[in-house]
Amino acid sequence: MGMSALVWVAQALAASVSMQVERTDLVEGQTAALQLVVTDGTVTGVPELRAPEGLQIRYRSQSVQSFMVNFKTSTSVVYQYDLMALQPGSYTIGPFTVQSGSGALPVAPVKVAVRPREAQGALDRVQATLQQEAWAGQVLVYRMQFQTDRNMVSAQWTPPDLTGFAPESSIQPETAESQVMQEGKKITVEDLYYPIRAQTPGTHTVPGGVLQGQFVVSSPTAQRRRQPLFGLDRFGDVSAEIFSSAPIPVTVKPLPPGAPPGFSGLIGRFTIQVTPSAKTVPVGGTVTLDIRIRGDAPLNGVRLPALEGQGWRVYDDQPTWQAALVKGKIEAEAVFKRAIVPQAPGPLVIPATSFTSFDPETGAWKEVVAAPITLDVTGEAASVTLNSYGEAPPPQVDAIGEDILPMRTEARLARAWTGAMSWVMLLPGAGLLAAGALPGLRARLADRSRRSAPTEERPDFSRLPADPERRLAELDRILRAAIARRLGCTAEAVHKEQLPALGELAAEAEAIYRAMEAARYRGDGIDEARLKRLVDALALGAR
Amino acid sequence: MIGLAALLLPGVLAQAPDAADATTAAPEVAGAASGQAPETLWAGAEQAALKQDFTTAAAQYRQIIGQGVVNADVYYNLGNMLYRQQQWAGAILAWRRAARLDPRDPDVEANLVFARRKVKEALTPEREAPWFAPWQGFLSPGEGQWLGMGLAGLGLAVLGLRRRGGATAPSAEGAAGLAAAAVAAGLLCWGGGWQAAHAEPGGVVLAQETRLTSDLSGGVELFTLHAGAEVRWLDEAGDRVLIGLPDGRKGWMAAQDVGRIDPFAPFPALP
Repeated sequence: MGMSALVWVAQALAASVSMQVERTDLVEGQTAALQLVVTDGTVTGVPELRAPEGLQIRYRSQSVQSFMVNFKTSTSVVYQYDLMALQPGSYTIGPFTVQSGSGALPVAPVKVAVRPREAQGALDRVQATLQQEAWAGQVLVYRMQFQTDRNMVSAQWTPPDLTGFAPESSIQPETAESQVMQEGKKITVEDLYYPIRAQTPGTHTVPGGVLQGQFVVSSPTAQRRRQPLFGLDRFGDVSAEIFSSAPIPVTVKPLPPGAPPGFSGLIGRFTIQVTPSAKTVPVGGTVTLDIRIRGDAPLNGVRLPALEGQGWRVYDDQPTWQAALVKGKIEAEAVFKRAIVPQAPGPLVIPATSFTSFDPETGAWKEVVAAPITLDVTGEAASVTLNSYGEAPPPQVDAIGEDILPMRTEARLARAWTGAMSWVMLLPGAGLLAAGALPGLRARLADRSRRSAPTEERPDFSRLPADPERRLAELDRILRAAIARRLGCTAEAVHKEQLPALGELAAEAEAIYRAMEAARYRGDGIDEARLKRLVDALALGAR
Repeated sequence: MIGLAALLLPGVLAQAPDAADATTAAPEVAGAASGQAPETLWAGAEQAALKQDFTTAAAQYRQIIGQGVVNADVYYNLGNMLYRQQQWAGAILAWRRAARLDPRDPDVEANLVFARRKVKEALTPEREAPWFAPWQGFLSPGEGQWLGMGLAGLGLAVLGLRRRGGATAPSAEGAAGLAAAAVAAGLLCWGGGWQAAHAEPGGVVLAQETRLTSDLSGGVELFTLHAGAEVRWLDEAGDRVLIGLPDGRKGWMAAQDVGRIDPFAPFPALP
C-alpha cells in the first residue's frame, strides 16, 4: 500500500509533455487550436514546433495551471498554437523532443487530415511573384496577391519563412487594396509587397506566404432577419479562411570577382545629382553642395569618397537616407551636404563626385559619376592675420555651448525618499480631530447611557413579566405611577374620577383605563404600545 | 470624521508604495560586497572623475545605487560619466531616472537635450501624468503623496480645531467647508502621486540596434530602433516587451535591449 502511494506521488511529480489538437479532420484553409502541455517541467522559451509542408504552426499564447494530485501540487504550462491547414493531404505532426530542466521530454506524434476546400468564391485566387534570379546582396520585392469576389472584411498576411534570404529592415512592407470589375462582378484585390535581401548564393525555394481572410457569411434567412440600422450592420457574421501561395524557386548568384575598391555593397540602378547653393562665392565664404543619390535599392550606410583639393576646404554634414516601397517598387534616396570654403580667388573646380555600384541587369560594375562643378571665387586671398578683415564685416560666428552641465559634488545620500511614509502627515490633524471630538463624544455617550437606563419615569417595557396576570398588574402599576407623578399624589390615591385633571391626556388615559379594566375582568388584550406612549407623554408633562 | 480618519489610515498604510521596493530593489550587490559606505563611494567617484577616469566613477555611482540609495544626484552624475564615455543610451537612461526623482531639475533637462542630439531617434517623450492629477507631471511621485497627505492632514486639523471651538462658532460653516475641500484635494493629490509611482514610466533602448516585430513570437519586422530611443512600456510577456513610440507605432522587442526608467529598478548592464 505504502509502495503504491509512493509510485503515485512519483508519477504525479514526473515531468511530461503532451500535444493535443482541437480537431484532426480539417478543411483546407481552416485553423485549429493546438496545445502543448508541459507538466512539472521547466522549459526555457517557447517550444518551437516544426510543421510539415502543407501545414503551418504559429505560437499564440501560454498559460499556467496548478492542481493537486495526491496532496502534491502539480503545475502545467499550456502553450497555445494555431494550426493552419494550407494544402490538402494527410500529415503527421511530430514526434518532437522538448528540452526541459529535467532533460529531453518526448512528444508523441499527432495525425491530421486536410480535405480540399469546397468552392466558396468562384474567383478566389492567390499567387506570389518574385524574380527568379538575383545577386547575393540584392534587395528584391516579394509580392503576394489575393483576389476574391466575396465580401472580405479583413486580411492578415504572414510572409514566408525565408532560407537564404532575410527581411530588409530598412524598408517597411507595403499592403494595398483595390477593386476592379471583372465579368460584371466586383473583385477585391489585396497586395502585399515584402522586401527581402538575397544573402546566400545557391538555389533556394521561397515557401508560400499565407493570407488569413475574414469573409462575410450571411444566409438569406439571416439577411431577412437582420435589418441594417443606419447601414451599421454591414458585415454580419464572418468566417476566417486561410490561403497560401505556391513556393517559388530562386537562384541567387554570387557577385562576380574583382569588385572595385570603392564598392560599398550597392546593388541596383542609381543616379547622382550635385547642386551648389551658389556659383559665385567670396573668399572665406561657404558654398553648400547638395548631393542626392537616388535608386531602386536601399542606400543605407553609403558614404561618398572624401574630397580633397588645394585652395579650399570641405566639411561634410551627417547624411540622411530613406527608402520606401511605392506601388511595389523601391524608391531610395541619400542626401549629403558638403560645405566648401574657398581660400583663394579665381575659378575653383570641384572634382567629379562618384561612387561604385553593381548593376543587376547587366551584371557589371558601374561607376556612377556627377560632372565636376566650377565655382567663381571672388575677393582677396584670406590673410593669415586675424585683424585683416578690412572694411568688410567679419563673418558671424555663433558660439554654442556644446557640453553638458558639470557633475555635482554634494548630495544627501539618504535612502530612497518615497511616498511610503507620507501617511505620517495625517497624524497631527488626526490627533487634533480626535482631541476636538472627544469631549462631545464623551458627553453624547453619557447622555445616551443616562437616557437608556430604566427609571420610574421611563420604565423598561421590555422587561415585563411573561405571566399575563403579573404582566397586567405591572402595567397597572406603571400607569398609576405615571398618573400619580403628573397629578402630584401617591399611586394609591389615583382614582378614575381624577383623570379629567390630566387635561389633554385625559381622554387617552380614560380609554386605556377602560381597556385595562376590560382586560382584568374579561381577559381582553391590551395595546401596550399605546400605553407606553401615554406613559411617555405623562412623564414629559410631569418633568 | 474620526471614522473617516480610521478608514483612511489603514488604507494608506496598506497601499504606501515602494517602501519595500526601495530596500529590496538592490540586487546589484557589488557596492555592498565592497563594504564601502555610499559617502565613501561618492567621494571616490568624484576623485576618479577629476582624473578623467569616467569608467571607475560610473562604476562607483552604480555601486551606490546598488546599495539601495535612490537619489537624483547620483543618477545625474552617473549620466554625466556615461556621457563622457559616449554611452549615450546609458546617459539618457540615468538622466531620465534622475528626472523622475526630481522632475523640476533644469540641469537634467539641459543635459538630456545634448544626449538626444547624439542618438539616431530623438523621440522626446511628453511629460506624463494621471488624467485626474495633471500637476503630477511637475512633481515626483513621492512629492505628490507627501503633499496629498499634508493637505488631508491640514483638513483634519481644521476640523479638529473647529470642534474644539464649538460647532456653533460664527465661522464654523466656512471652516467645515475648507476642511472638507482640503481633505478632498489631499486625497486627490495623494492618489495622483500613488498612480504615478505605480505607472510604468517607460524605457530607453540600450542595444545598438534592435528590430521590432508585429508579434510576440516573431511576425513581420516592423521597424528598427537604435540605442537611446525613448519608448513607452505597454506590455511584457516572458522575455519580450511591447513598446510604443510617440508617433503611435508599436512593436515587440527583446526585454534585454531596453532599460526601464524606474529609478528603483537595478541599473542595467550596458552593451
